[in-house]
Parts: sequence; C-alpha cells; structure tokens
Amino acid sequence: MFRDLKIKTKIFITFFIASLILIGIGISIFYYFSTNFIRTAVYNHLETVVQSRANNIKMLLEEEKKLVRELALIGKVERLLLADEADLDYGDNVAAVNERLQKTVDSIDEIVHVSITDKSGKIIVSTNRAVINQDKSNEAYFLTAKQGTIAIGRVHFTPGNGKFVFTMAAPVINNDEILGVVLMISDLEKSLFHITLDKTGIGKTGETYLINSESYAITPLLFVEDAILERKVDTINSRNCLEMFEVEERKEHVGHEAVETFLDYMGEKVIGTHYSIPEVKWCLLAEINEEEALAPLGWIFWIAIGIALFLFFPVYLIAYWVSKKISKPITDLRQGVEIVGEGNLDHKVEIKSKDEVGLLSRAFDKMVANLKEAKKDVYKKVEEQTKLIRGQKEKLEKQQGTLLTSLKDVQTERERVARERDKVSAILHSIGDGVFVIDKDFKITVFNQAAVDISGFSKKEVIGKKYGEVLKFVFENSGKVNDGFIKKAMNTGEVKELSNHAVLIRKDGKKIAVADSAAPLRNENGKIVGCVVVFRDVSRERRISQMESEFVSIASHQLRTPITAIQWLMELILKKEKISKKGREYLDDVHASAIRLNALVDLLLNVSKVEAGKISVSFREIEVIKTIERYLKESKGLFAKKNIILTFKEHPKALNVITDNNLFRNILQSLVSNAIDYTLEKGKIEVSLEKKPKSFVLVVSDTGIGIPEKEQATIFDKFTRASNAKLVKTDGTGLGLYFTKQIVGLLGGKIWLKSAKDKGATFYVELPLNSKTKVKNTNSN
Amino acid sequence: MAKIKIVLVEDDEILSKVIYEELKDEGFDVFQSFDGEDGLKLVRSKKPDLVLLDIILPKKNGFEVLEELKKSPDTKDIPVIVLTMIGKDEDIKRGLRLGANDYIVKSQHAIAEIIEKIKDFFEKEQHPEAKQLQKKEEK
Repeated sequence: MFRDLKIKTKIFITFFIASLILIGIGISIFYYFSTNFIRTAVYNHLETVVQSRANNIKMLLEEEKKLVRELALIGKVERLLLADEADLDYGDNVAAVNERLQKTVDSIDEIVHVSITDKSGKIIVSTNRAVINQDKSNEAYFLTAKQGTIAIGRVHFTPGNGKFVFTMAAPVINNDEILGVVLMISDLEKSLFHITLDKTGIGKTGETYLINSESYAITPLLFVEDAILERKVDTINSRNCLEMFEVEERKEHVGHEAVETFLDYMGEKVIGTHYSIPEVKWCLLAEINEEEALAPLGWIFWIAIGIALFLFFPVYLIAYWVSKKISKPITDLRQGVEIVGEGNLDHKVEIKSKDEVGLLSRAFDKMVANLKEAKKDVYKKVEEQTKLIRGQKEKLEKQQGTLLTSLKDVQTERERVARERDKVSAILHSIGDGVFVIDKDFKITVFNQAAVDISGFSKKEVIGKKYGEVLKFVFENSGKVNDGFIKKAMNTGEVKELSNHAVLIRKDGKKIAVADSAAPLRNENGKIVGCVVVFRDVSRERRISQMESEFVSIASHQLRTPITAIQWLMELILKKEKISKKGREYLDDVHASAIRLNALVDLLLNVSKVEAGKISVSFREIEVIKTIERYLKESKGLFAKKNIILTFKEHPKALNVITDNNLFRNILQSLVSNAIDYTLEKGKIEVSLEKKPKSFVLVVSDTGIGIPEKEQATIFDKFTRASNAKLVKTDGTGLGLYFTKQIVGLLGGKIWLKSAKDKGATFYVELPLNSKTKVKNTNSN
Repeated sequence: MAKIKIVLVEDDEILSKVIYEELKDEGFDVFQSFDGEDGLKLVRSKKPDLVLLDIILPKKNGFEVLEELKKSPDTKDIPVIVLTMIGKDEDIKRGLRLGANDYIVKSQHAIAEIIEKIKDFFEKEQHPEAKQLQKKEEK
C-alpha cells in the first residue's frame, strides 16, 4: 500500500517520519542524558550541601569544645577542684563557680547546663541543681575526659526540660593531673537543628539529618514527627555511612557511591548522600526525593516536546520541499510519458538534471523520437495494408453477397431437392417393381417397398449391407449366382439386363422368377458412384409367357398339320393323277396357296417367336448349295405359275457352313417368295451365292417392281410395305422382311438391298461361315 | 428280297395316309399306328427296319416311346427317325439325344423329299461306310 503512494508522498512521508523518528530518538537520548546529568548534578549538589553542613556541624562541635575547654580553664573551677570541701570558703567558691557557670549558660543559648565533676566523677557544681552529686564516673564521656581528651557524649533526651541534649566533657587539668571534668550539656536543637533543618538548596523534599551510631535520628526528620531518638533510619545511605565507622573509624567519609536512587526511611525514592562525623559517630544524611530532584526533567520533557513541535513545521516544510524537489522531475517525466502515451510523440520531457531521472528522461525522449519515426513507418505500411485490405474487403463483400445469394439459392435448391427426394421416395415406394440402389461398394442404400415385398427382406435387414449378401440372383437352371449384370453395369456404365432365366432367392428360400435391369448411377462429374437395380416378379409373366409358348407351340403345330397335309396331297395329285389342263391350273393355284399359307403361318409364328425372344438357334453344319437347290425345287410351283424364270447359277459347287438350318431356309424362303410376289409375269429371278473369306453372300435379284428409294430405309420395319407393293399383292403382311432381318441378326449376319422403282430389286444377305462363333463372340451373355 | 418294314407312328390321319401311300409305292412294308402306346406295341411286335416317330402323340408322346424303345434290348437297335411338325431345336436335340438316328421336319418338306430321305437312309444303311457318314451327319 505504501508502494502505491506517489513518490512525492513517499519521499515526504519517509523524510518526515524519519525526521520525527530521529527527533524522537534525539529527544530520548537527550532526556536520558539529562536525567543522568540532573541526577548527578543533584547528587553533587547534595554532596556539597552535606559537606558544608557537616563542616558546620564540625565547627559547631569545635566551638562547643572550645567552650568547654574554656570552662575547664576557668581559674575558679580549678581552684575549686583543688580546694577541699572542708574549707570555709568552699561554699563560696562553689557559689562563685556556679555563678560563673550560670553566666555562661545564660549567655550562650545552646548551653543548657554546665556541671563540674571532681575526679571521681561526682558532680560538685552544676547549673542544674538536680544533678548535683550525681555520679558520672561510669559515663563514657567522663572516662574519656579522665583520659585527658574532650569527650562528646551521646545525645539523649532530658525529660526534665524535654530537650535533646548531648554532653561535652572536658578535663580540668592541673600540672598534668586531672582534677575533674567539666560537663557541658548542649541543646541539640539550638545547636544543630538550624544546620540540618536549613532548607537552602535542597528543595522541598530535600533534607539533611543526623543519625547516631545506632541509626537513630538525632535531628528532626522532615517526614516523621518526634523522630529524634525514636526513629531508626536504616537505609542504604545510613548503612553505608555507619559501616564506614567500623572500617575507617576516624576517617571522614563522603558517600560517593554511584549516584543512584534508593529508598529512604519513608520508602520513597530519593537521591542522597551522607557525611560521616567520626568524632561523635554521627552521620549527616542528605536526601532529596528523586521526583523533586528530577523535576526539571519534566520541564525538559515539555521543552523537548515544544522543540519537537516547533521543529515539526519546519521539518514538514523541508520534507515537503525536498519531496517536491525530488519528485518534480519524476512527475514531469510521468506527465511526459502520459502525453506521449496519449499519442503526442512530439512532446519532449527534457529534464536537465544529471541524476538518474534526468538520464531517464533523455533516454525516454530518445525513445519517443525513435517511436515517432517508427510510427511514421508503421503508419505508412498500415496505410498500404489498409488499402489492400479494403480492396480485399470489398472483394470479400462481393463474394459474401454472391455467397449469400448462392446460399439462398442453395437453400431453395435444397428445399427443392428435399421435395424431389420426398417425391422420389414416394414414387419409389409406390413403384410396383422392386428398386434398390447400391453404392460403389455394392452396399444397399435404397430399398423400396416393392423390393421388400418381393424379396421378403425388410429395409433394416438390407440397408448398408452388400447386395450379394442378401439378394441372391441365380440362374434358374444351374443355381449359380447371376448378378454379372449389376457388376457389368457398374463397370461399363451401360444399362444391363438380366438374362431370361433369372431367379431371386427370397428370404424364406423360395425362388421367384425375376426380370431386372441395372443402370449405373453417375455423379455430376460423370463418375459411376453406384447402381440402380430394378427387378420385377415375373412369375406370372413367365407363366403367361410359358402359356404363350405352349399356345404358339400348339397352335403352330395344329395349324401346320392340315397345311402340310394340303401341301402333300396337292403334291401327290399333281404328280400322280391325270388332271385336265384347267384342273391342273386350279390345283397349281391351290398348291401355291397352300405353300403360301404354310409360309404365312410360319412367318406369323416366327414373328411372334422373335418378338417373344423365343427363337432358339441351333447351329449345325449344312451344305448351303444343296439346301438352296432343294428349296428352289420345292417352290417351283410358285414361280412357274407366273412364268418367271428362276435361276441359280452363280455359286460355288458346294459350301459347308455352320448355321441354323431352319433360319437359313426361312431367309431364303422370304427373299425368294418376295421376289416371286413382286415380279410381274415373265420376269426373271436370279439367285446366286458368293463365298467370302469369312462369310458368304446370298443374292436374290429380280426384275420386279422394285422399291422406291425413299422407302428403302424403312422396308425392314414391321408392318411396312412399299407403296407400290399393294398394287401387285394385296395381302402382304409387311412382316416378311422384318422377320428376315431379325433372324439374319440372330445368325450374326447382314441384310441390305439395291433397288429402284420399276427397276427390280436385289437383296443381299451376308452370313458368317461360322455363325456359331460369330454369334458367341457378339453376345453379352 | 424281304420288304423293308417300316412302322409309322403318326396321329394325323391324313398325313399318315399320305406317307403310308407313298412309302408303299416305293415298295416298303408300312404299318401305321396312331398313338404312342399302340406304336410301342407295334414296333415290339413287328420289329421293323425303321420307325418313323411323330412327337406329338396321344397316350404316349414320341419321346417316351423312343426312350422305351431304346431301353428295351429287343428294340433298341431299331433305327428311329423323328418326325416333327415345327422343327423346334429342343425337340430335335432331345430326339437325337434319346437315340433317334435322324429327324424330318414335316412342314418344311414336300412329301417327295421325305420319301427320298427315307430311301436314302436305307441306302446308307447298306453301306457301312455310309453308316459312319450318317452318324457324322446326325451329330
């Protein structure tokens, strides 16, 4: 989060806080040192105080000592001590001494009483009548005085006058002999109190007080009333002082321990020191409450705060100024970057300073300049590209437009196709013939209802399967698979039909006679992509056909029998019986009619056979010449009647060919009888035969009415007769040449003619020498 | 010389008569039969030198007769010429397969031709080499 602040703010805050911290640290250090300083100062001060006061006390003691000494030197005192009690003026001496002593007592405030003891310690004189004759021989001060030195006695309380006093004893010495001791009772209060109670320089809580060697206070304590000789002061300060008496008895000791705070007799924290007065084994303690001592610190603290606060503003300003100064270039740089970022590549930041920011700004400016250049280049390129793209876009839009139109068309087309497909589906479904479609893998893709009905397989069972797996087309006779027609259709691309004796094995195993054809399916490129196979249950048709055959068979047989009979009988009659010329004529006619009738029946039956595809061809070797001769002999009657001369001259002597005998006869018969029919009386018919390398040509030429050129092309058609034919022969069927052409075809031959109206006709029939092989080669089955 | 015996099995009376008369004229001994059963009996009893056998016959058709003739040892060697009215190839083939020596298509030949053919047959018969030729022709 700090990271996200502005640099200026960062600098400012950092600087400011750092400053504050430094100031804080500074103040703390200052404070700490101040404390110590003050403490030391106080301590030193206390030392000074204690020292000076101790000196005062010492001086006072000296003065006292002086006093007592003086007293001890008083002549009167001396004389008294020398005097004998028994002396008369002893009493006066005593009174005089007493008076003298009283004067001292009265003149010096702090002296309470003075007493003089004799050398045994008995008080012989005293300003305090109460003590006269008291024995002070056991007193320490007496004993010390007896030694010859001035002694200072303990501080004690005199209930009589309610004062705290101490005794000073001085020996009265005469000629090195101690005559007695002067005892001076000093008032503690009056002598010492003012020293210790002096508040100068020790503050409110500061005090100095004396304690004796038993730690009892002997001057008033600030915080405890009636402490003298009542309150023990057992503190570090007091202990330190008193300990010194044991260590260095006579040495004065100033408490110079570390200036530390300790607890006073009240348990308060104080700074204190002490001064020992070994002479009397007193300790002068000086103490001041730490609180008070360090009170100035409070001042210092607030001053410091004040300074800090005072500094706050300048620091703030400095921080602000510094941060601004530092951050300005950065801001400028940032602004510059922004301006450039917005697109103004002409803007320069140009910070002049030599520091990192300046360097950065110059680098930036350079970069911007480069960018500007590059931008120009890019713009140029972009413009070019844009032009290109625009062009392409227009193209695309055009294409898109076209595409959309196409799509619409496609959509319409699709709908149409869908409709067509539905139509086709519907048609397929309703077609009576079985229809199935296979793809190039021979798998069934379409299978109509009729196919289902005929084959016994359901759509599900066949769709997707190879047709050979489910639909078995076999030869009726052999039972062998007979689907070559499908394969041929796919390979050759031609429509192929199944041969006649085809059978489909139904799902239930039953055999159904079918007729079918396969037509290749092509895609738009003309490539074969499948096959449509149509098949029909022709059982009934076959039956009908069979019936037809039978009928034809029977009919032809039945018709032929009487016709043959007539022919033969005619033959016999004409041959054997004697008949009149006219009779012969008539019978000739009858015979001719019979022959013609025979031919007609043959023709009719043949036509019906050829129509039904029932002409069976059986190839045999025949000797053609002989066959022709025989026939011509037979039909002599026909042409003789009309006085037509028929010749068969031009031919090889013999010619064996492989052909169908019956069919050949038929051809011959057809041509010859035509020639006879359409040649007028006394005409000529010429039959000839020419052998060729692989074939032979039968030529029948007549001098008849001929066939008009226009009609020559159609003369072989069914029921077609030449227009001039009717004039000559009224009852022609128009079938003769049709049938002839068919069977010439069956034999693998050719038929053609040459003719002109009224100029006769010549018919040519070319047949292969070996019809069998010729036919076999040309047949697709 | 014993007359050559021919059994003619033909159901049409007129045709049978014509053939009969003409053959007789040629000196053959001809026995007529008008149905298959009777024909069979006749052949068995007469043991002719030739059988002229029509196909379409009542009671038993020509093929059946032929079959039985050829089955039976005492008649199998008797030559048979099949007479057919139409000349259907299947019939011809069948007849030849069943053992007929030859065939004649009645409707296609004059009676004289037919008689010729029969005469020729016997001539060939008498010359063994001719028999071989004949066999060749039959095939």
